[in-house]
Amino acid sequence: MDFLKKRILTAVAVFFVAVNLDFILPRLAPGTAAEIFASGTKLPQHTVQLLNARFGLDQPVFVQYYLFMKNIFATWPPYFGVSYNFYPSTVTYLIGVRLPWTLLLIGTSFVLSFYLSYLLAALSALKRGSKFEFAALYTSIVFWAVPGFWIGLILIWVFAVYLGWLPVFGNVGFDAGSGLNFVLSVIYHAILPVVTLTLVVFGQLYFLLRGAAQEALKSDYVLAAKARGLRNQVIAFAYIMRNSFLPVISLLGYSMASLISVVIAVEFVFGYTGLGDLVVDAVITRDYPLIEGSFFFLTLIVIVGGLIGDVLMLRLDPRLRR
Amino acid sequence: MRIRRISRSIKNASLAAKVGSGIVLAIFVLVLVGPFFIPYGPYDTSSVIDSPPTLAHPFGTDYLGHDIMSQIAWGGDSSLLVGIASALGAALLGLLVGVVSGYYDRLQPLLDGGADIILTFPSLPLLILFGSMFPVTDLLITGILVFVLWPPISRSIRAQVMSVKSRPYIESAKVSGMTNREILTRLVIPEVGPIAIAYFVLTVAAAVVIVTVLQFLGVGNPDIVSWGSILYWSQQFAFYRGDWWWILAPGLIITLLALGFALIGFSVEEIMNPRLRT
Amino acid sequence: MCADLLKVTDLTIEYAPKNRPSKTAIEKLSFAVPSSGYTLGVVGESGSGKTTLGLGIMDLIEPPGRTVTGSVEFMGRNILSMSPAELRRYRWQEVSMVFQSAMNSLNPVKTVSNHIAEVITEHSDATKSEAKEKSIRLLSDVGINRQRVNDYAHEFSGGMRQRVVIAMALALSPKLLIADEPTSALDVVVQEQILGLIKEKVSEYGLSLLFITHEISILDGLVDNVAVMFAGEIVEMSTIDNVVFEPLHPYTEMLIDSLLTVGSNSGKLSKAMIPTEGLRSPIAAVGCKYSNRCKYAFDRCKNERPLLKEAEFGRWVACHKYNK
Repeated sequence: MDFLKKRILTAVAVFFVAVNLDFILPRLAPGTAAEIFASGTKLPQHTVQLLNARFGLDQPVFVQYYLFMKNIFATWPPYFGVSYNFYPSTVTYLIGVRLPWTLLLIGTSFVLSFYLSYLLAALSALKRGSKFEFAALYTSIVFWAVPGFWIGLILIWVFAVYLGWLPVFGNVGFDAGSGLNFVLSVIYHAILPVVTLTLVVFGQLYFLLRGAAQEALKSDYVLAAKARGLRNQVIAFAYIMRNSFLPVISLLGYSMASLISVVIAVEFVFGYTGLGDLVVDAVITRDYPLIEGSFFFLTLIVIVGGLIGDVLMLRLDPRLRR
Repeated sequence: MRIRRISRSIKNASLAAKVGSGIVLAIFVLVLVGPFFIPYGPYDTSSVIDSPPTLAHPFGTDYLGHDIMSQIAWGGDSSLLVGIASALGAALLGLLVGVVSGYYDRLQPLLDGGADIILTFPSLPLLILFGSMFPVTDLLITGILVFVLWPPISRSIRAQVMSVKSRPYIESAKVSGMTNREILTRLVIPEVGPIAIAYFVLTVAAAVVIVTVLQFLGVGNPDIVSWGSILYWSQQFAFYRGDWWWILAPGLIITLLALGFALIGFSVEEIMNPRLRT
Repeated sequence: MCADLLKVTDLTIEYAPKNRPSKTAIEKLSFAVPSSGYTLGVVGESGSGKTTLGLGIMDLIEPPGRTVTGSVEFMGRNILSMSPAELRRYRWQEVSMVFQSAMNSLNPVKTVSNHIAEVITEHSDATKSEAKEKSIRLLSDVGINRQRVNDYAHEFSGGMRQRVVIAMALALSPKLLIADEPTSALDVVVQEQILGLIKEKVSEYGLSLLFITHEISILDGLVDNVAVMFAGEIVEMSTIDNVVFEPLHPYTEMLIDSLLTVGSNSGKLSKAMIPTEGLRSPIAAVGCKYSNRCKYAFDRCKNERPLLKEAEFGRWVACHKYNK
């Protein structure tokens, strides 16, 4: 239990710092928000003042900070203001609409790539020194190196443009309606982005998993297991893999952070309207409230992901429990 | 003595490392020497538009007749420069922090916590944010990348240092009167040095890819030819014009470069692995 | 004439790591365990090849080690040429092994009873609950409380873990138990308990025992026979009394000598301190391996390797002193 407490404490601390950064960074930009909002056109002073007041930018920094924190933590749903770009929608509304799509993407890809990596690592442990192991390893290195967005582009080319089997962009068809049709359309549109993401995560995961499996392979308890005449499959799964993904799960939090970056690029490529795509939009158009809000939620996803990893560790590793 | 050890390990280097080095070298040649030999400039338009790869244009041309090979050859230096420079900075900083936080327990929570925070903060949005707020120069991107990339390196170095620290010969060095600084420079750093080099190489791969993503997203000036900007334009036009080579060629080059570095980095890490503990 | 329980013939195992010269761990080793109940202690210092012997008998030699020549026959069948399925049956059902460090031979994520139940279900048609029941019985048989049966390896002390490992080794009622330094990592008091436990179970189950150790003193009362190993070969083999009180081979002499100087002089055996490696002359490459250190060495020793021969009835020595 101390393990979990310590992890939660760290997570809260990190989150706190991140939220503060969230406040500070956009305000470091040259030019006030109002000027950006007007995209460079010279506005009369009067209008600028009105805009500043509207967005609460004429208050002293401390007041802004207080309001910022209060709105996020003391109100529900957390209030980040109104988006400049999508005026008059509130930031929270926009994020609320987009977040589930991103979670769908991340969740599915993570689960798939985990299974893929796990299976391949187990098989590689069984067929040590074989061509299979070699192929699996180098394939994963390739996917580690390839830019995720490019995989997406290639997949679009092959499956959407050339073969025409899958849609080019979007998360759901325009005319999908509701019910089963809707669900099917969602799946249909999600295939390519999920495949792309899965391949990228596989590239990161497999090498770690394999490293851990190599260590386990050399361990005494595996030798003892062989001495007991256990079948190779049993040894591969219950002895090698079971012990290998412990160190990998503990790294879940950190891999989430780099994953978010890839998700953003992938959503952009596929025109998939999720949180990542929103962030890119927000940043490029200097939509500060939206930037603040989406950064907040992205960081939240990463931290929650890390905590999930820690909880999983606790459940899976008996050495941490008692 | 250490030189002999290094040259021996170069000879024993795995096939993967050699292949990786070959690829990296080839691309370096393309980027450094190519511009002198390729007859077209990267901004030269021509009437040969939408041309698939031919002898005249080995990587094809785009919708305005730009020779894509030329674009890749000329546009590579920013990616390479920023990639290597930021990886170098990140590796040095990561090494420093990793060694210090691994060796001096008092500083550990502070340094580690700092690394934690940076690791958790979404890096790409941060980069895009800075890229859109301030004028985008190679220096700016390098600076931010160093900031973003050093934590994972410091983490692994720290783990290594902690395991080295507990070894008996360090104890005996302390007892025999070596100062901490001497222990660090003469005993610890040579032990973790190779691993730091492996991480440096892998970070170059990662940095080059990140730079490309930024360029691809339109941060900075997409009118300046760079690997990412080629893809920026190709994403918009290539699909409906059927110019598959326009997407393939630049991406392939980036992939090959990253792959080359990855092969080198991973095979070095493999050799070092027995001493690694997560 | 029925076959020996275990017959090792001309077994040669070497280790050949990449980029390094190969080392022969066991060379042309031959001996036999004739029948059930036959207990043999194998004594040797580290590097003598005794652990390799134990692993070799179970065909557990992994790269970079490999079995070069020889055969290991269990009840007439050479296990080195068995199919994987037969080998899996042979392992644990016929011959089981207790390793040195019990912590390391247990899977950190499995409960103690799970380990034993797994062995049972993998080797028989028993149901999961039957296997669990049996594992609980086996564990309590070695002194592990029913309540602790679902605990994990790291929750037990070293001695308790070794008991678990022993219970596991007995689960399928094998015919031969190999114990490779099972008590070296334990403190003296626990060591006594474990040795007592092994002795008890060996007679209870009617097993043959192959006990590998570097401390000849602990074999007292545990085994009937002793084989002394040096540099990958058996140099002397006979009953324990013969070997201890009338050692034939010069190496055995030295071993027993060093025993008695450290301990009391009333004939009671006590712990031996084996001299460290670096201070001694190297193992001879030609002729008798011990010739560089042997005080009786003569010409023949330096040129011809002595074979293990029966010098007297039931006493085997590999030494030219007895080769006339």
